[in-house]
Amino acid sequence: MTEQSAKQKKQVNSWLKYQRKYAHGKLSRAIAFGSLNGLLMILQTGVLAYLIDLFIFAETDVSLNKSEITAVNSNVIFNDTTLIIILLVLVICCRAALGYFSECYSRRGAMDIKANIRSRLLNRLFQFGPAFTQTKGSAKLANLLHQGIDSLEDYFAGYLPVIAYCAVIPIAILVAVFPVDWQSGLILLVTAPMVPFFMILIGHKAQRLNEEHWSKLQRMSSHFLDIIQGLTQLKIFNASRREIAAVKKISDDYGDETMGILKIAFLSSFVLEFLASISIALVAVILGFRLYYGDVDYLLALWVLLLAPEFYLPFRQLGAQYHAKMAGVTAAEDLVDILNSPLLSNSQEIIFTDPISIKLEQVDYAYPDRCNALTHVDIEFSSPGLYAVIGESGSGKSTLIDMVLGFIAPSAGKVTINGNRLSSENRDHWLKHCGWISQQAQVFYGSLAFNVGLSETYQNERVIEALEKSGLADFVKNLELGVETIIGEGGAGLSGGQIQRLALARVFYHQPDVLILDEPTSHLDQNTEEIVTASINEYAENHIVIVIAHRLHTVIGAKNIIVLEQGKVIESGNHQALLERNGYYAQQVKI
Amino acid sequence: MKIFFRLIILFKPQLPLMLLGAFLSVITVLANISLLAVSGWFITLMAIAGTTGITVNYFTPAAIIRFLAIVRTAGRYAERMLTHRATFNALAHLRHYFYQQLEPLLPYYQLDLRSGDLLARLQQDIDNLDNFYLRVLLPIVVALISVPIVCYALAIFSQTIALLMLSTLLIVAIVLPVISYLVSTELAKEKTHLEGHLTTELVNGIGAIKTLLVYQVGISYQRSIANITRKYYAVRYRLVKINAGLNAITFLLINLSALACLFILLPQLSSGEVDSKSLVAVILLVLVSFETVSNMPLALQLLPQSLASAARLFAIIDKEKPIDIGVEAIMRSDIHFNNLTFSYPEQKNKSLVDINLSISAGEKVAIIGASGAGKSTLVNLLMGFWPTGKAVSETNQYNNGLITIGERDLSLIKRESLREHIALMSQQGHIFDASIADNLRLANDKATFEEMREVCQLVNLLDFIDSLPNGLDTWLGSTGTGLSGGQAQRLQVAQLLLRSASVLILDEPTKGLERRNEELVMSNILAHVKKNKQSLLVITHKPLMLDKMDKIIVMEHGKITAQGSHQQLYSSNTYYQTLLNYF
Repeated sequence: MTEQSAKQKKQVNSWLKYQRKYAHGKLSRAIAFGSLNGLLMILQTGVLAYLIDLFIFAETDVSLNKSEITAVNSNVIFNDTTLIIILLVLVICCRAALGYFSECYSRRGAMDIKANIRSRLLNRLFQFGPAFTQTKGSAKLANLLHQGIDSLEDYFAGYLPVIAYCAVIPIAILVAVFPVDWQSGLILLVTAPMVPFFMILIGHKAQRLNEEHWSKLQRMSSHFLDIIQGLTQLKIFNASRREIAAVKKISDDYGDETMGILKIAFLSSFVLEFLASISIALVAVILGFRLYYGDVDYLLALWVLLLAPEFYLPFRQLGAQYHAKMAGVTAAEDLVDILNSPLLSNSQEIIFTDPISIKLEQVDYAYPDRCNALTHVDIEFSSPGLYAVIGESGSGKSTLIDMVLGFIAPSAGKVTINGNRLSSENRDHWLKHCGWISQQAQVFYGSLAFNVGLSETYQNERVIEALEKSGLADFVKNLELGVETIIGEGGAGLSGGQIQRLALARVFYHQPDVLILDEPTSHLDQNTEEIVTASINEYAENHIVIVIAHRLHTVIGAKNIIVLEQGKVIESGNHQALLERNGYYAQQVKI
Repeated sequence: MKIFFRLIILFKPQLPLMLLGAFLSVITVLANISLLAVSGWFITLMAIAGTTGITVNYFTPAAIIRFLAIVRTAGRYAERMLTHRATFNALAHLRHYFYQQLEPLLPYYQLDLRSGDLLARLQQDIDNLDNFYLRVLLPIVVALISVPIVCYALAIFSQTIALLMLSTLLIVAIVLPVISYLVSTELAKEKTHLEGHLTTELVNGIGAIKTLLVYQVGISYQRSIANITRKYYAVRYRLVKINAGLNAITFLLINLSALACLFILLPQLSSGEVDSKSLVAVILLVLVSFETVSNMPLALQLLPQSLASAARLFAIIDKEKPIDIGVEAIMRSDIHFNNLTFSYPEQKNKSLVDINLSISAGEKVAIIGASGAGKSTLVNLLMGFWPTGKAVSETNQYNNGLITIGERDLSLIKRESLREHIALMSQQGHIFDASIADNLRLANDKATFEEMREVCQLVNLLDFIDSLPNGLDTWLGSTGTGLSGGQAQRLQVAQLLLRSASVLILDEPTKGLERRNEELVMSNILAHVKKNKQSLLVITHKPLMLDKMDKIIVMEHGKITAQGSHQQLYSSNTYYQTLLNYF
């Protein structure tokens, strides 16, 4: 188990690193600029040390021989210093610019990567279809697509560059320090490996603690939202005061738990800071004494002293980015799962021609970890008319519909359209002949006409015609902008009945050969209900219409009623035939 | 400003700990900047001593350096522990406070607070305040204390430098963040807008994936998402650029001001006012002095957010509390609605008109009607969520009539006693992120495991619970096992049956239940109320078991249009007849 999760972690990490290529070199540029910035820092401190040394010891020189050379000397100093000052200002400006571009490039690169991942993930989801999004939970997937992917930003823009700096900058400093002052270099070199060592040691403990406490913390924090959302419920139970009193205790526990984890994190930075402070102090003191005994040049000593804190800076930054790494890896785990699942091809070109005939032969289907949703189903939809599918929730109605639409493939048996086997490869061609209305139809952000035609290049007359047929024409006429009115989020509001009629208009616009719908159960006003039912019945005269029916009066007129129970077709026939059979259906009707 | 101080007052119990944390933060920051300055001073001293051969006391500075290194490290650790502890204490206190204030307001203001969106934002607002001390208050306090100290220390050597540094620090700490705020306000708004747009589009699109696929518009949907993403990131990139630009300017200010200090000190060095050791110390001090204000930009960025969150929260909890004049206990359990007319606050439409209705003890009553007929309002009033009777008769002319329980005005009855007496399973029931047993215990905190198993059996949930590895201790909700709609519904019925009330109200009890369960649950409920001599009020639009009811009430548009037994209504009421034609 642990080996497996370690392997998975490795896979996630390598996946994350692999995503760098989608930044198209921006991240590499950011890292190059950042590293160059670090190298210039070595130069800057060197020049500053040189300048200070020059001033101080020039003064001392001057004060020592207040004689004739002063004029010449100051002249030299003047020329020398001007140049050096210009150099220093130049270096500082360069570093500011490098810092700016490094930050911009790293963020831009991270955004490019995220945008790319989002497109690919969305593409996958549309390939896998509704069966997949339903099992994963569409709200969860939407969240993964947005916040989940966005939480990768700090991994790419923060953590990855810092890792590179940790490798580049301390080594560069060591290279600079060793030739001039090997003793200080040695101090830095000895402490340097201890930093990652302790960080890994403590990091592991923190991670284990994190994993142990994670679900507990999640539960506590969700409890807070829970209390607000369920406050009325608690009042009903007369438990609101009691539970609110408990909030304090839970909050305190939450604090204690989190402190337990933070303590470890603080300890890790404590060790880091301790090592850094002590070695800076050590470098300073040793340099002091060596200066005292004239063992080392002041310029070099000052330079080394200025470099010492910079040596530890990348490690400190790494400590701060640890959280970004954890968050990135957690988010990536879900992403890798989906993006690494095998792609289905949809290359098969099949032209389905009218008249359409759909056949399900000995079809079985089972969802993972559940008993069969469909067992030995044989159904044929071959001539125009209304087909009703009825059954209790969980009897397999939705599964059946998903199978007819090609969103799921039977685990045994086959679905054929005009004799061609329906598969994921020709699903999209098949769907061109289908129309779909869900129980609660959806409105998309855009104009009313866009919502009917579902394309930016809709045909205006046909849209109006479709709206007329669905009984929305009067409503649209009263709108100032007519079919151009923006609806959906932030746009004009539509009532439940109007949305259902809009979905109907979609069907009239597209004129699918096969219309499949899940009858709305929520209370539409009677008027809407009648219009919708009448329109559907009319459509069924020339097309195949398959309806998941919840109401008696829809079913009565159906050409064939298919009764499902626990994934099996227990009876079928028209209203009269089923009544005569005196089975499940007849029982339902006679309450 | 008023909000700021009100917030500070809320933090009062944690103030000592917070101040101690701030004090430690200041010490740590000062130790850190002194460390480098003293080190510079020390090696210059030693260098001069070395070249001139003068003996110096080098033990004291060397000891100071080691001491500062330890103070810095230990101080950082202690400060972090302390400030975080204070944060969590404050968090516990704040949550408790706000929840306590919120309790009387719901569901009275549910009409305004209805959307889950708003509740989530409420939660978000409280979360935002978590950071108030650590990210906002602490950096400001640290800067306020340590900047004057640093400037004072610099003034010992040169007043010009002290003034220069004071102004540079002010620029970095306040002027630049304010400029960035002003420059990015519009962009930030656009960013929030696009962020929301992306969320809704994704939620809608993934939810409607079937429709999109069937109508072959998956590709254009994906393209539109890519488009929004591009716009969103473009805006974010502009914000990044502003931020990066400010960072670059800050960097330039730090380094150039150090250079400037060097030049300001040069004449004084030649004149001997300042010695070379101090010169080095001052330059290094200047280079690191920006640490005192390094967290200010973020603090100023978060300050308006925190204050806005606090303002929203205060606005909610400052809402006028619904009138509650109930003090008496309930004696008898027959309920009467006498000519009751009711409209929700700030709504013109009357939700209930002239309701006359009686439910005597032990009676079984069903209320049927389309949504919006006023069924749930009736229940809300019965639970005392909105004031009626005496509590409003003087203030609201539209609301009149009376609800009495045991011939006593409902508004005079103590809320606790009322809810002890009447138990409700509402349609908006909430299953908590807790174990099954915890959820059941919410309804009755004295319930034993046997009692819980018994009610679970009554709602046909026991087999399912026994099939779970953890049984009744299975964790539910978003962080645990999900229940299907039907299972959640049955669990709520089980909760209701655990209540020892004398009136049980069920609002759509069989919503989402399969027929088999529906019948089983309903007949078990009927048997349960009969056994316990409880009154039963069922609100439904399903024709199930209506023949078992003593009385059926038909409601339409806030009025009672008919009442009578199943037989009576079946023969006379057309609405009732249509209702029976549903599956």
